Amino acid sequence: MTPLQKRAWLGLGVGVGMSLAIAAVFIARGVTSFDDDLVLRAIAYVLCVGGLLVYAVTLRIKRRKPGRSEVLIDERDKEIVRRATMVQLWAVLLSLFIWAIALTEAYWSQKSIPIVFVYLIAISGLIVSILAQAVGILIGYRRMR
Amino acid sequence: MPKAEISNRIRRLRFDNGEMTQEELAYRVGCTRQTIIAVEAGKYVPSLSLAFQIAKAFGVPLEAVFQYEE
Repeated sequence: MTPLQKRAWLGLGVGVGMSLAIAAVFIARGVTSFDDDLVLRAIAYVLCVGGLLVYAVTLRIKRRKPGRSEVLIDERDKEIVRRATMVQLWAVLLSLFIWAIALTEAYWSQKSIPIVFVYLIAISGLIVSILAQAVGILIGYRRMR
Repeated sequence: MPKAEISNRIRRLRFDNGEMTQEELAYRVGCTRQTIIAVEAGKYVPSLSLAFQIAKAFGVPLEAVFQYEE
């Protein structure tokens, strides 16, 4: 397994973990209580920033084995990442449009949306981005094997 | 436009060069063994630079390794 594949599996784990965590938090404390619930807001901040930091750490990849000249990342890996980044971009764009349409339709009569959705959009964007890149990389390796 | 296929003779050339392993070839051209496997199987078309390096590793011209077929 290449370092990129390992990163993709880690990304998949982080993405699924964050999805479950955020779902559990909002199910336990309720979405509507966000405006008055300081603990829920703190948890949302931690998940948002923490998830971003964990993902940033996974982006660091060694290109050669320490002390050896063996190559770990080459042009095929870079091509797979390039294609996965396109998958990531389209997935994030799609998720943003889905949020926009869904919230517009749901809150059309009120002419405003609850502030909690700003965090949900940000967190879901991060999760979709992580998952889409991971899936894109894994599919890329499957096709170019 | 007809679909073009790029075939290669890497497996044959490895055999002719003292049964060179995929790992050894990868080391010589500076890529991973997985990439050599993918190129050999026709799943990945290498860059011009890598293609030349592979040909150089076998000491043959590029067209002796890769063939362009329409």
